[in-house]
Amino acid sequence: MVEAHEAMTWSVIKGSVEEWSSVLLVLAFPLAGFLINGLWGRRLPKKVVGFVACGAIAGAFIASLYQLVMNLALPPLQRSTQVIVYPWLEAGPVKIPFALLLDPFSIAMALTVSGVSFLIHVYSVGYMAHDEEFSRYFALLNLFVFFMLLLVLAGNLATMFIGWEGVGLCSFQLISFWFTRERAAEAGRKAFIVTRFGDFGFLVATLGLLAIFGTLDFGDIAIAIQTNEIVKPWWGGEVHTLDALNKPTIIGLTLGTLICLGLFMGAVGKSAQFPLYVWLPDAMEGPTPVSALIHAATMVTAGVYMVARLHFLFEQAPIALTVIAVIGAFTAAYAATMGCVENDIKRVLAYSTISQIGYMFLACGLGAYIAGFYHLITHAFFKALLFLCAGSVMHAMHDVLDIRRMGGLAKKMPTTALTFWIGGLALAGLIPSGLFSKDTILHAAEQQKALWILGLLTAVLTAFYTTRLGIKVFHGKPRDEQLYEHAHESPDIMTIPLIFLALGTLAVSVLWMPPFLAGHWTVLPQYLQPVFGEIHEPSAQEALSSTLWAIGAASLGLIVGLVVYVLKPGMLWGLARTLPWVYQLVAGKYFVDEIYAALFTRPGRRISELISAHFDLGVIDATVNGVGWLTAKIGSTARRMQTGFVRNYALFFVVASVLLLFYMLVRGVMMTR
Amino acid sequence: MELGIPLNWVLALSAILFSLGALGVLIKRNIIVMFMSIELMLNAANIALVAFSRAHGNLDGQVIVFFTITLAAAEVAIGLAIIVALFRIKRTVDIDRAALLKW
Amino acid sequence: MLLKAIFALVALGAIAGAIGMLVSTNPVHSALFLVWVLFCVAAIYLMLGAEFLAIIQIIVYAGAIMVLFLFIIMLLNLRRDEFGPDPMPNQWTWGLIFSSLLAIALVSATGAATALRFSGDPLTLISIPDLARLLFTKYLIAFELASVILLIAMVGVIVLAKRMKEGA
Repeated sequence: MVEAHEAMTWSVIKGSVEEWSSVLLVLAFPLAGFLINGLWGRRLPKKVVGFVACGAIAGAFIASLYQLVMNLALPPLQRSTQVIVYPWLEAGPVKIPFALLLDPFSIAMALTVSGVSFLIHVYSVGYMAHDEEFSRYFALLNLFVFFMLLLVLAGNLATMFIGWEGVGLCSFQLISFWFTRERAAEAGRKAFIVTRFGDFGFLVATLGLLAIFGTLDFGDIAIAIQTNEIVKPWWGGEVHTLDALNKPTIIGLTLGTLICLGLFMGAVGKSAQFPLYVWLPDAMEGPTPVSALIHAATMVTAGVYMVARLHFLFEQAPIALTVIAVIGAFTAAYAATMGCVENDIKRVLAYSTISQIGYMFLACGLGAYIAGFYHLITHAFFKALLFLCAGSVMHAMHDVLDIRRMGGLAKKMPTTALTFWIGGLALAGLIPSGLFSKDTILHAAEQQKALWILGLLTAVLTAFYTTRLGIKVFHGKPRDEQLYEHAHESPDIMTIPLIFLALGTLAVSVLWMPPFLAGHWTVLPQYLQPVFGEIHEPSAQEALSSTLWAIGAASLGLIVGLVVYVLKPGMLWGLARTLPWVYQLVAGKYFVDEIYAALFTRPGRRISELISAHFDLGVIDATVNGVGWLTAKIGSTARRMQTGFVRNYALFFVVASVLLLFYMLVRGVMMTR
Repeated sequence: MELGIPLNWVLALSAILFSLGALGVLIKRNIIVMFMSIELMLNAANIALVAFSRAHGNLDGQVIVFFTITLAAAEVAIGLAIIVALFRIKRTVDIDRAALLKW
Repeated sequence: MLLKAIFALVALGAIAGAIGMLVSTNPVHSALFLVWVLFCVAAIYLMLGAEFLAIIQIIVYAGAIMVLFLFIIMLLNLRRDEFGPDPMPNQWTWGLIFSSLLAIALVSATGAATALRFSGDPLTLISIPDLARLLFTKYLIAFELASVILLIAMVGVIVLAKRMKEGA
């Protein structure tokens, strides 16, 4: 493991809102942008709308930057402050304030979110220039950033839940932004419902924590766990925190494990992990900048953020951590295989996102939170970049998404192609920063051989599909001449954010360099140390071997990709001249394609078909249908109760209240005896 | 010094008025009178709140009653509007005629 | 002692009014009975020292809300014998049984409250400035939200009660 945690104490200072009011600016800018564009956007000229939206996010970024500067001025152990904005819910001993948490972790995340968001907003001005619903788009995008920053800066789970649901709402609205298209509307609904399913677990776990600790504040829970405070859980009495969390429940799991699994269920839904990943590929129906912002850079990583935010809790539940690591590693490899056979440019990237988030969860499950967070940051940059490149390609190709109809676009759109390759190589883990962040995760997994091999396999596949995507889109011969003729480079307002994101992708690698390159250049781990504790820096040699493995895996994928998709024509022509019998093979140029099909597509499809025929139909569908059948049966019997008479319902209501009252009375009498 | 009225008297009054309100909701067929019964239940709850507020020497209970009355005003306006809309469709305020939503 | 007697009288008045509301078949009579009950409740507030609420009760409840009720009854011009045979003939029995049980449960629960005693002088009115201070500090956001809710209710009523255009 990279990070061996010492007995760390994360202490959170409570600050008043008067003293820390500047943090409200971070939230106020996007909210103001939303209100202005939402209320008056239709009457404002597009230029003003775009300016307001981008300005709001720029404001949020600058405000976050200001927080970072202020934070750095403090001594490391005083860098975590909880700001109570408003006493929100107060009922006896239970106090749930509307609270924000300013600590290195939240500030770093807020900076990433607002920074990437700003570039995507600028790009959107160009991308959505001809859309009639320009102002609605930017209002929603601003609202999304507001909720995302609220989620990030939240000081307790209740406040985080507002942000959590808020981003879900905006995601739903933006996926089905072009709601007149049936598929977009359906995709939005699907995303909302699938993530809501996970949110159920999140909510139950939150209530469980409230019932144990009587508070939802991150700082208070952390301190209660660190000092093993005495708490008053719902089952009565006073017990030590760790005893409460280790209380055995069903099937041998402790209460703490159940709570953590509930929280993770929310993360699985929001971050599109197996088995709740299904909404993310469909979410590509939304405008491409939305896919870049919400479904690659920010919202989908909220689950990772939440798990790392509550790491002190998850560490009390080793089983839950194992589950997270295994699901993460499995999802990473599983989604990568799907990325290899997909032909829709955005869906390839969507599967890639699922796969990369799997890496982040793998890191969190192994306790390497900073590694996971580092990958979150680098991924935010290079994946946003890749999506925006895809958007630029779509712009040029009249919204064609099928990579089989593209090709040779590098000549027509050099900037997009160049930036795409920077993002793509970073994604593949061949150049910084993707190389460094993926490497830290793989290094963390080295002790767990099975997970490590899955991680390396994913790295191979990632490099392969990235190469395939890049070559099919930008190189070789144009496959659709007509589309190619009309293709053109996107306007400056779109290419400049691409350049900045590409530079950002390279630049964030300075956050954490491997020791053999830059000694102890560990800006990010040092800054996050008050939250996550000291990390154990590997020796230069260890790190080098780990990096070589990572590069080796990625190069393998790259080489296979190059052989298959670039050397193909040359190889065949050479063979044709020397060996006549091969000529037939060459004449039937498709043979090769068929070999690829046999080599890659068909086995993949066979496996997928087997899975879909047996696992999907037999297990998943059968379970779903069985549940449905059971529900229908129960429903058809129980519906007789629905007489339709309001007074009858009222009677049920009163009967139930009377029963409850008598139960409480009897219980009260018993307890006083 | 103790207030002349025992707290449990007030609470008992609140309980009885609440039950009468519940009875009204159960037996009246006229949706407007049903609605009045709901108002009665609200008032019964308010009495209990004021009594407790007095017993604890704490004004929060009264503030809650203030909000309850405010919300009751909003609720009555909306409720009566719904009743008017219902009346337009059914030409009656008999709640049992609005029984389409059943098995 | 005198206070107890007055309270008992007012309480009985309120209960009688509530029963009257339930048994009268004319909705206008029901409404007037309810107005009477609301006045009794206001009197009880006054006895509990909540003078501000007593006034609010009369102005808002008895004044505004009940007038709205009567207004609607007259607008719809309701006849009391419009209804057909009761589709749920046992409702009266069940309703009486369960609301009596409800009353029994609730009243027996109040027995636990004897431990609590009223503090302070019975007839000292709680100062309105204190109430106002609470309302505009601790509950300020709730107070502002209440006004938003009233606004939304107003818009909602207009939307609901407006005659829809054909096909809309």
